[in-house]
Amino acid sequence: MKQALIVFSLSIMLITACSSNNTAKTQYYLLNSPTLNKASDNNNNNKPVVIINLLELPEYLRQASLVLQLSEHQLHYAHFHMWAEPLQVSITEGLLQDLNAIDSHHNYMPVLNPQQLTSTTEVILKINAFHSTHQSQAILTGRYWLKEKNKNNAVKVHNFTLTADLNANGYPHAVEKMRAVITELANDIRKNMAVDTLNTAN
Amino acid sequence: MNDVQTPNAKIKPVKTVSTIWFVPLIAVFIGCWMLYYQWSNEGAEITINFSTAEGMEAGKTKIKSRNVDIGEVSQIELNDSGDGVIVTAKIKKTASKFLVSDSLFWVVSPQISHTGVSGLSTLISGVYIEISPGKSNKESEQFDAIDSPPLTPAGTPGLHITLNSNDQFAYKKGDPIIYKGLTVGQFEDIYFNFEERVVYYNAFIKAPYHQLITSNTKFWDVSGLQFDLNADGISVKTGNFETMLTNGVTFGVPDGMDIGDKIGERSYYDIYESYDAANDERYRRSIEFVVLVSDSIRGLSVGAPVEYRGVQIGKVKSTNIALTRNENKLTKADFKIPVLISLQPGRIGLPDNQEGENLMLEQNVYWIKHGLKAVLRTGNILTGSLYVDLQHNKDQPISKIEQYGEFAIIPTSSDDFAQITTKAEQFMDNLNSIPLNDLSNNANQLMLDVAQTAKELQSASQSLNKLLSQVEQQKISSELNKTLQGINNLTKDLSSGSRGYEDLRTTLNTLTATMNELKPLLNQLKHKPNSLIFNNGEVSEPMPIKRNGATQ
Repeated sequence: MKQALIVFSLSIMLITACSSNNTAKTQYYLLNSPTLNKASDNNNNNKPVVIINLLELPEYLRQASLVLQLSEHQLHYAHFHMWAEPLQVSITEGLLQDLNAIDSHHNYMPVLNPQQLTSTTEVILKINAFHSTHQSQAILTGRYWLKEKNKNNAVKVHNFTLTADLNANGYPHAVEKMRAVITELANDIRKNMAVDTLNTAN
Repeated sequence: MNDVQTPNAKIKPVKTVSTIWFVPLIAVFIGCWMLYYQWSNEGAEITINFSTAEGMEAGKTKIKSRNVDIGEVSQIELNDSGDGVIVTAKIKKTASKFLVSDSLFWVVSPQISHTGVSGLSTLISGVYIEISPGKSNKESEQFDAIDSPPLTPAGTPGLHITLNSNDQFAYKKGDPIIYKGLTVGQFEDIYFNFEERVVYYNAFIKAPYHQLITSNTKFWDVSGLQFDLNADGISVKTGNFETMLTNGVTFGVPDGMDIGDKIGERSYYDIYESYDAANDERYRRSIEFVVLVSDSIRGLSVGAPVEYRGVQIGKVKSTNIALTRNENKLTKADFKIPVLISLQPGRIGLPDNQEGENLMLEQNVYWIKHGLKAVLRTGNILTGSLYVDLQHNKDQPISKIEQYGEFAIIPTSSDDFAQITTKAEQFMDNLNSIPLNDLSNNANQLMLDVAQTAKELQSASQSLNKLLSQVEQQKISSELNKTLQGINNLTKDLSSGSRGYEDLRTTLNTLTATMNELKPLLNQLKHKPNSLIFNNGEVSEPMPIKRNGATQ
């Protein structure tokens, strides 16, 4: 009886030794939350069309893993935290959402659009960095050019470095903050558009 | 104790010899025994006469039999006359029984000849003397060495025969005697008989092939390659490979002859020039006639066949019988060449004896009287060799047979003898009368015509080529059009917005998604290959952290 007990306990131990309790699952993130989407019907054809032309992203953003800056020059590609769609698409999409929501004077469109030919202004956007950092910030840096077709294609350059502090641990919060800096960029663009429009009016 | 009286010692002089004397006695005994042993085991001392002592050394050169040491050379000195050396050798007692009168001694040294290479081992070990023990019962202590090893060791089973030839063949010692390609014996010795001017060869046939030698056996030469050009054409004959390089003889019983009786040692045989010559010798009896030829006998050789309706019944024995002119005066008429032919009754199925001979003579005499004529015919156009043909010419019977010396004459058919020449002359005349000039003109004309035709053919082929290339081009261009159309269709299918393109994009996207899915796993595996099986719970990786003091 005693022997059977020992054998039984040993086999239990052997079987349980093979089990693992700590399995990491891959998490996927959307930059633009469809649930928070403010459905704004801005399809007013009378408003001047502004084309948002997002230039090609830096190499390290052209992949699915979320990126975390560990030190000044060190990046980490998260193993289990991935973008659900390419950033090239989601940044443009987010920016268009925000711009159309906050600017009622213009109709913002992506590039390669049927209404492209009728556009008055083109925003050419170049993003240099878009990630969360070791300094507990979400960062978005780059520059954009406002190209006005009415003014013989006059171009104005605007540099930006936008950050948002992280208030909680983990990637979900970081993504939230990254979305927030996109909104900040949208505000920046709208502000400069407004200034330009004002100048034009003058 | 003191009461006991001590007995007085009785002193005797010592008479025995001291044992110490056994020592020299034993030494003497051992010495004597050694002397006796040495004397009794010394073996025999022999002397051998050599023509030269080349390579031999006293105390070093061994005497061997079948490569076993049986003695040693103890002394070498010149003989009294100075034309040879006397070698003294000591032979072991166990081998002294080989020292009989017919034992043979010779020096073994390296030899390279057509029969092979031998004695190479003596290049290193030095020469030695080989003994071939004899069979005689007579003991001997003095021997004359032979110059070279005996070709056939004494006592080898087989048969010794004597061959002779007075022809131009020459054989050397060791030349093979072959039978159906097998070397069954060899020439051993050569002796030239000055009186007969004939070379005699002693030859040895090994057992069991000696049983093949019978009274009817004939030997003939098979040296090298034999090219035979005769009335029958060209024939090439050879023995085996060895005889292609050296000389050799072969033997056999000619077809149709009895095997014959067994023979004893040293029987005599002739060596014939060829099988045919040997075969001819089977017929011993023959009758002879003379044919007087009024034409050239160039091409008629001794041995040329005499045929009767295609069957050989004899041969030409001599083409020009030595003549003796009794009268020293000019011959008015032309001179006819007498040719001696012999007809052999054995060849036509008559008995090969006097009876057959008589029968054949009678028959031929009868035929000659009733018009049998001899005709010289060409046997081989290439060589121009002639043979004698006997044929009946019943129109020209004769009443009396003429004689030439002791031989009867078979008359010749003069027309037939002239036939060859006449025909040749006719041929030459015909050749002359050929209109060569006309022929060559015609040929020229023909060549011109041919050239013209060739030119026309060339132009025709050129236009044909052109036509073909046009057709080809049209075909190619239509095919090219088709292909381009196909490519167009394909590119349409794959162009942006098309269904094919969309499918491709979807597939690629799926692939990218899958790759993204796999990336963490691959990373993990790259980092720790065994982590799939052994996961120790290390799943931690850096993640964004909140700012100090910040509240959500």
